[in-house]
Amino acid sequence: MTRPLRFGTRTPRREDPDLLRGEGKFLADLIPQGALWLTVVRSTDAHAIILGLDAEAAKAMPGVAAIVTAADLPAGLGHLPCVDLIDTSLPVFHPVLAGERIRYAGQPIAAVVASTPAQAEDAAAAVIVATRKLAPVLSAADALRPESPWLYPELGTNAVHVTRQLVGDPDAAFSVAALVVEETVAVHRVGAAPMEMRGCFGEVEPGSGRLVLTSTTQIPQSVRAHLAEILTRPAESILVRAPRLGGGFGLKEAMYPEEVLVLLLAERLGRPVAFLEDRREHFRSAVQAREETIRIRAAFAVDGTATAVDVACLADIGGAYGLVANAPGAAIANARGGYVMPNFRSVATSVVTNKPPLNVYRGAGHPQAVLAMERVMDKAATALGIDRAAIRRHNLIPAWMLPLDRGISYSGLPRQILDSGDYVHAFDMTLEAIGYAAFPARKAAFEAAHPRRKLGLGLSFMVEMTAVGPDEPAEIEVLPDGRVRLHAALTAMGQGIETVLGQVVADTLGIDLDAVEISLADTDRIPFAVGTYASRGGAVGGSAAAKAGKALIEVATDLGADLLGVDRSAVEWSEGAIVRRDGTNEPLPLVELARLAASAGRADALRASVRFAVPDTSFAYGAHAAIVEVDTGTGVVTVLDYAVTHDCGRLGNPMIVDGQIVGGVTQGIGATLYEEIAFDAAGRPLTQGFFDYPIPVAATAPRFHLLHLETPSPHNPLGMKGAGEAGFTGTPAAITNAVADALGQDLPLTRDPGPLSPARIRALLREREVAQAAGFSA
Amino acid sequence: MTGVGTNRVAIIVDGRAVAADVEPRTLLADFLRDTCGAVAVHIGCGEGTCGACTVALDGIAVRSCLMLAVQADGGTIVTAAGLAALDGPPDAQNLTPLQLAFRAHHALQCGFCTPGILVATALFLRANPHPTRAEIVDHLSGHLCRCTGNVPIIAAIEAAAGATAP
Amino acid sequence: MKPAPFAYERPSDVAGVLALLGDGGPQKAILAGGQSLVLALARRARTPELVIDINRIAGLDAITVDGEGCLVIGATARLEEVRVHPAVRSGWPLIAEALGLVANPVVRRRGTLVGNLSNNGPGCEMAAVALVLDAEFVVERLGSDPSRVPSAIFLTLGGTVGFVTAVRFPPPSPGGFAFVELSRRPQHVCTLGAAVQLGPAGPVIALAGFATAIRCTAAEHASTPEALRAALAADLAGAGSADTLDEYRHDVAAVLVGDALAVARSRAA
Repeated sequence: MTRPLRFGTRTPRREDPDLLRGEGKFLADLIPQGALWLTVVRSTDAHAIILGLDAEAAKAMPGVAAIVTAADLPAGLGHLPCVDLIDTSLPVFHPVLAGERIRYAGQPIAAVVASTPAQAEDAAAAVIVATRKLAPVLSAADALRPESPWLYPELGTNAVHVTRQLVGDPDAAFSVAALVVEETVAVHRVGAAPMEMRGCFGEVEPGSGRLVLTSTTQIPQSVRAHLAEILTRPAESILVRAPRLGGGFGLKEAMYPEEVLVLLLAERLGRPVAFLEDRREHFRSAVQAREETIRIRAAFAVDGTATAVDVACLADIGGAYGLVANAPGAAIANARGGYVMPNFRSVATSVVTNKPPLNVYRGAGHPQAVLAMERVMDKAATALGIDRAAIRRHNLIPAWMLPLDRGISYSGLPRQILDSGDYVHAFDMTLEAIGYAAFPARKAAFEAAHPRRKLGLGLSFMVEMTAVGPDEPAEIEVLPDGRVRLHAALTAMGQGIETVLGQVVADTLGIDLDAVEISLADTDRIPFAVGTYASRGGAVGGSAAAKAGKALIEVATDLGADLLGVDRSAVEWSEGAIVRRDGTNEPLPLVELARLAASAGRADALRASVRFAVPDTSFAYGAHAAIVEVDTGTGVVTVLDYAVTHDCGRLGNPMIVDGQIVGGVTQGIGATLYEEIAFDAAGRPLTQGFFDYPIPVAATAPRFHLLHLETPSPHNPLGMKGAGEAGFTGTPAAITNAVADALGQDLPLTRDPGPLSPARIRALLREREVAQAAGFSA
Repeated sequence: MTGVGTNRVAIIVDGRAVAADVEPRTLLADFLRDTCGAVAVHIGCGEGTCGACTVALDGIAVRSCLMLAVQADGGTIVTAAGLAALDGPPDAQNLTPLQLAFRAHHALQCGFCTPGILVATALFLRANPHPTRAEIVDHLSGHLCRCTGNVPIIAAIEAAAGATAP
Repeated sequence: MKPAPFAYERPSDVAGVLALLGDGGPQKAILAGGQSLVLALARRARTPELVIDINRIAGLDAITVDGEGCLVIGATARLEEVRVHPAVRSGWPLIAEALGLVANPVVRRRGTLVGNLSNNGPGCEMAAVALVLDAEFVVERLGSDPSRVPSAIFLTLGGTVGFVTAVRFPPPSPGGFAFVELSRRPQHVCTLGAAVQLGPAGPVIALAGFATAIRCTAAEHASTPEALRAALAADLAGAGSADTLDEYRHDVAAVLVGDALAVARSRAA
């Protein structure tokens, strides 16, 4: 009888015992004794010229080891990177420390190093910065006004990065359309707000002199490569490690000035230097997300067929590029999602403003693009008098049409070939789960009993790029005790990657899960990889682990035959042991093989190093539906029910996938209803902490109805697609549509940025009352 | 400013006696982590909102980021690392029934908020062994989790308590 | 987020506090529950030279009903202890109901009612309750007898008046009560809270959420929803706060008070 497979089961997580006992080994737990502490002096102005900086008094304060400004940085020090620029992108890079010009409140100006964090803060408070304030530019629309100041005067514009797509002939389609729907979708600025904030420490390795950075990063290998460029030194002289992260969500898929500063200062001072962000600082110095305004037009035939889409996205990226410039462009290029829509045009424009840099956050640009498209579907259904579910079903790509090349391409973007699945089936499953057919009766009964309250049901359909390439490395070795250790480049950040990789290796080798160790995110072991993002860890990391396991079987079987003195063809691998095909001897288990190999001086043979090349992007998809209750008297929106049918290919661990979906939807609820990073009229952040940034809690959780389809991805041997971002991606659209259904499709819910807070709902209702009282039709 | 001096703080942390002289401004959370080595105390906000730093001080759940170390002088502290002192007996992996319920219900992902939730919940269940779902939700109002969506945490607490209907 | 340096004293009696406090001023801070003060210290929003810890003064945590039938809550009585106290729940249930909405259970176990009212921060629910129940504050200063300061005055002065040793609530008027609130998210900071106590002379109403709590005397005499809306507009004329939600507060005040009155009346029936 063969061993039951771990893959596909709700295997309890291997990460849990340590974490539950509080032995999680997060970054703050690893800072070496005797480390000095970095505090960053940050700008309080949003837009200003630095006139002078006086740190003399601060330098004399107790415990201070160094105070460094831009002028003290090494000549030739690079700026922070941006990875996906195109030929026409303009240079708006983030400096390690601001030299002359400040472009957002929170921008680092000076680094203070002292013996304790408190002493560093004491001294930071004594650093005097003299500035000449400039008028701040606080929205993308403002940035494009002719009278607005330029953040980079030498460029002569605030629009710095533009990408375009054209498929088919949208103008022709619009010219013959029965209906053209136009919608503006303004999405406000939010943050990933992981519970563990950012942190890092730098050391100089004794002996080798290598610089060692330990950082809360999802991309240690990329950080190493970027550090080599910024510091202009060979990558071989730099080591980057990522411990377990207390949540990442893309906020830690970035490069930060402190990662450079702790290394420079550790080298200069000959002591480890550590940085731990605090929560107030977090909301002005960690990357932010989502802020963009999308204008979408769609052409429909009278039967509801969407024939063309024309979409323009204006992204407010803050004072400089984040690591990823093209999240808005990549996502807007995917705005059609799962709908056929043969003619398509998009333009995405990134504009600099006096706010912290924008970067990716769970789903990157997808949630905004899905919101825009799904508002259009509701508007079209209303205008054409077609049922909302029917118009979506009518336009969804039928299963027989897959794979489908969307005709999208440009530099840096994966080809969009929708690979596999059954979109209509998933959509129907969600309709069933949310009780779509019975909803009108439920709504009528509820509203009759609660005159001030309305129920609404919202639908959305999302397709997103997951499990992206180009490739993923893995190494595997047999330890002297016969256990197997897999080295992966990925970062553990709560997604259960240690468990999923363990399941894959255990299954591949036919051994116990407990006999598999996972080692992660150490560039000393695996220097080259792309990182943990874009819902790629499980699928591509798992595929690399499976490939490594198979490679190990080959080398172990070779070695076993050798050591047993038999022909290679006489033995084979079975259940973690070498066996003779003729069954004449006892199996030679790994522990014995390791012992024999060691005594023969050939222990090194029991290892393998592989790289799984990702042939193409896998597109995961899901159908979402939400039911909300809105109190028209107070403006309070409550999410009652939430249904998702998701297809991320084969489920490596259904428990973990469910956790990703529920967690992602919950973040989507937070961003749609509660959260906003806000600024005052001078561009200073109003968000100081969780008092001002209410994320979801137990009390805001809806009833969840989770369903899965498992259409295997054709692009990896495990058949997996990504699941990490799917929950968030469909949620703003489903909830916004549900609120529109409750209050009326005419209410301009997306015209202005901001969460659908009680105050905004009431303001919109009042505006409509006033308009109606004045005789304007709704 | 001079003359603020230091104060002697002697406490027991997870059964271990620790004494040290600290500046009055030293926060209890920092004292526990830096001086006592209690790394189960996680600092997620420093403002009392997230609950990750929650510990039991003389049998009462407190935010260790909103107390001065000197205030805890003479006290007995339990962190998630010593949860057995507040919860049932641990198993062979040194996990208490509450911790096992969290694992079984996938009530943690990154695990950063978890120690504070465990300590507060163990004390909550001592005072209210059979809470309703509504009471659990109210109890969790002091704890932020960014990963799980909170639903599995409610389920784990219900399971640990054998909770009654709302 | 580390406090600036300060000295720390832990007097063992009220006289010791008064001696250390002297004339008060921003250089001195009284540490009771610390749930607001320690954050203010960590953010360096407050940088006192001396922090006076009153937590080990015997008897200051008492919750008692005095000879006049008043509820007296000492300066170190914790919010949660007040909330679950049998005398409070039976005689002053409005206090218990509102306390259930203050912060969260863990912060309530440490924070004090006197401290909560002395800070009277944005959205302080208990300030509205203090106005409705006509609470007064027992204030001690060096060299003078304790004085009693009415809520209406105390809430505008806060902790600057001296050492507040207790808050005192007059004997209860049996009748329906309610505290309801709105916030940006359930269980978040109160945006607008309505406290209602029904008494022999009709309802007493106050709102929390503006810069300070506001007693709504005109609204107390309104008999129809339309009248209530107009009366509240008068009660709240010019009311504002430091945030951007004032328009919303004015807009929904009548709905919220109407809801609170409905709950209170359902309990009176």
